[in-house]
Order: sequence, then C-alpha cells, then structure tokens
Amino acid sequence: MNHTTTDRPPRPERTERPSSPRRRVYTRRKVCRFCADKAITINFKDFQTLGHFITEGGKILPRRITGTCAKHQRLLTTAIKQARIMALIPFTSAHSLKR
Amino acid sequence: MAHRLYETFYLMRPDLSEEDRNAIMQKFQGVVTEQGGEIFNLDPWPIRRLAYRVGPFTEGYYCSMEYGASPEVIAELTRTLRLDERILKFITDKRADEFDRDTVIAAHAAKKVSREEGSTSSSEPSGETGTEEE
Repeated sequence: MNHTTTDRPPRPERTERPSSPRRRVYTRRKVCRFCADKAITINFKDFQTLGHFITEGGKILPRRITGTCAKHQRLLTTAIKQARIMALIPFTSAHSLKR
Repeated sequence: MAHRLYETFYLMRPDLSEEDRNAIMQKFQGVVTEQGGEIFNLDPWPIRRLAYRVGPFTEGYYCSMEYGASPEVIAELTRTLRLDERILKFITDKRADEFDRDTVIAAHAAKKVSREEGSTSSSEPSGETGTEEE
C-alpha cells in the first residue's frame, strides 16, 4: 500500500487547541530547591536559608508555595522547629524584639 | 558502644567574658572527650540578637560542637548542660547513626576549604587556618 498525499487537500495549519472553559493557568513548574542543588543541606543553624521558607509572621510556608518536595519539606519543618527552640528564628512576629 | 555523629548547639548568656565562654566550651568538650567521644568541630558564634526574649536576655553567644560519641555521653552532656546556669538553651541533634572518623573529618575539612575559597579568596591559604583549631 502506498499512501500518497498529492491528491489530498492541504491540511489546515495546526493551531492551538480551543481552550476549554476551565483551562488551567499555566505556571512554571516549581522545583524543590534542595533536590536541584544537592550541595545545600538543611540544618537548623542555617537561619538564613530557613528564612526563605517562613512567612513574615514566622509560619512555615506550605509546599505548594515553595515547591519543596515532600522529603525535604519534612526535614525543613524539623529544622525550622529546632531553630525556633534555639531562638534563631521567631515562633511568631508578635514576640519579636524592637530594635 | 559504637559511636554516632552528634551536634550540640548551645546558647550562653550575653554577660559572659571571652574567658568565661572559653571555659564553658572547654568544660563541655571535656565531658565528651572524657568518655571517649571525639570532637571534630567547635564553632563559637559572635554575639547575636535573639529572635525573642529569653528570660531577661535579648542577645547571646551561640556555640556549635560537632562530635562522635556513644549514646551514653549524650545523657551526661545533657545533664551538665541543664545544671549550668550560664547556658540558656541547648539542643543536641543526631546527624548520623555511624561515626566514621576519617570520612567525617575529611568531609569537614573539604567543606571548610570550599567555604573559605568562596567567601574570602583573597585571605590566607586555608591550610594555615586549619591548624589553629588543634
């Protein structure tokens, strides 16, 4: 069987699929920072790194915001709690010291 | 008993002199080494503002001590840390269940070198600073 395309009418240009009514907004896939760079280790003493994963008020940011993978989020949570105990990062901004 | 890799991080009162702080660090080093533990890193921090008030204090001196020791040492060290009123807070973290002396020390040295190269490449070679710890 020999299929030839000469006798077919030319196909219309492929265009974007028509958007469905509940189309997802395209967002860049977040990558776990600790998986991307194996050199960074999670440690409770490293309050500067931990600072990226807490809110202004001192809450731990959820994975869906930061993109951290489950494994590293677990380690991160422990580290943040340890750092809080050691007064490196605040439990809440309500107790923060006035400069 | 087999040694494990631990890190103890403690907070000292801000009203201590440098001599006092050194004495405290010596004391806790002694607790570990007396019972066959081996310290490979001692890292005292400069005075630091605390995230919240601890008793009457708003700042303090942190110090980190990394060592290999058996679990019994931790019990004794915890006891001494609790008894010492100059220690405001402390935490002991088990890093690994096994303490392989050579690899840990080698890894620590490598990390230190890379950190020094990254931050202050213009300063003296890392070999010089490494010996100060002894």
